[in-house]
Amino acid sequence: MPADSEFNDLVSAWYDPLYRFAISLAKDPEDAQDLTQTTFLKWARKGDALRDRSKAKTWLFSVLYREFLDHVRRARRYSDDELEADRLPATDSADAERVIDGRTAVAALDQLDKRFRAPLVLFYLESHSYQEIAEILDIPIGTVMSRLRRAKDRLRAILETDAKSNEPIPFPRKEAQS
Amino acid sequence: MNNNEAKEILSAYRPGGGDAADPIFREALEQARRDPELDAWFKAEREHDAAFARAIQSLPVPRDGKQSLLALARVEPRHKRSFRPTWSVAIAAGILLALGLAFFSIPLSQHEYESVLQQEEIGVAGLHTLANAMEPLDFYGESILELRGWLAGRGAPAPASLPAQFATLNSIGCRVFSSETGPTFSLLCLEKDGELVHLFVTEEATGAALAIADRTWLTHDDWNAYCWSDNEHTYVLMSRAPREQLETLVI
Repeated sequence: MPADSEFNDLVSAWYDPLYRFAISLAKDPEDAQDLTQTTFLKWARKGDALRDRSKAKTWLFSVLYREFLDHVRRARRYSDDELEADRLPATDSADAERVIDGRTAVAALDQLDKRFRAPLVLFYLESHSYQEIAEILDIPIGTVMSRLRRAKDRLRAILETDAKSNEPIPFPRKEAQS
Repeated sequence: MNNNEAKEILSAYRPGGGDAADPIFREALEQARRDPELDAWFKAEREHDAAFARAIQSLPVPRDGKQSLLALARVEPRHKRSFRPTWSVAIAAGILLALGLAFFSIPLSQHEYESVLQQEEIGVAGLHTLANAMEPLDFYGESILELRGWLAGRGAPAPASLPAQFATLNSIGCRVFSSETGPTFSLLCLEKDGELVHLFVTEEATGAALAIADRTWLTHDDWNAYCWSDNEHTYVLMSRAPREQLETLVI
């Protein structure tokens, strides 16, 4: 197992972004937590084999993504699930506004094909360059760029549609009697 | 480079400016500076990116997940780590000898422990039988995290999260008790202040077959036992250590 201090450093630095990547993919908080924990446990068992320690971040995200794909193959349920927004962890009232933003984001991402969802979330986590996204997802750099472009166009359209559908329905006015 | 190609490249330009030094973006950025239509598109794109990045980065993260991982990792190795697995076995054997248990631990045959697992209700006495005959352990590891990884890798019940005070325990090893028809129990053998501390882990569904009251201290011979559950697993802590010492672990 890698040195404990290194493990602690990795958990401290990358637990939150990994969890956010996981919940954006899997939607369910428990599944996201499982994916994140499994990823770190794999690091605990196999991380020693990674010669270039500067690649630890890419290794962790790559493992989580592959774990997610394995889960999908095994369960075949994620794509059919509706977002259960109520299952997102409750936070204190100070976080309430941010939770709504996060939920909106996850709900919108859920409408994207997972081929587009994964690079987009990695991009928005801002911790990864396009080269690292390509490495994590095991796709060419050009594909990362084209998927980001298409995913963002689609995402913007989804958000606009959702915003319109949430607009209040105008109360019918009575014509003024003359 | 036409504007369409520039847009594709700039789509990968991170909102926080993390890619400013990357030469691949230079030409596209320069083109955006020269072309008002591309510049307007890029500004709108960056605003949208910044807003969405804030939303993703504000997704709440449950605090207990990270804490339990850190707690598991905080269990310091009792001895300096060695790359030779035989050292782990030797160290564990040394701990067992120091605890005076190696000579009293009676190897239990598969048939014998299966008869415990196939009881309709497994009580403290049954687990006491298993704990008393823990040798030979299946795996010797120097931290709970390592034991958990080994158990999870074999599909055996592995603790998802443990109270933070478990970080104060030294790790010896683990063993899996399973039978074709009965439940499977993982046994984590730990040590604190010269006393063995056993932690049985089983699937939460199996926990219903346990004839052990939840969150109540029980005594069998001179062993103390305490049982609790989370969403996935049922845990039973067993040790000859004084109850007040054990209580600090599970509070």
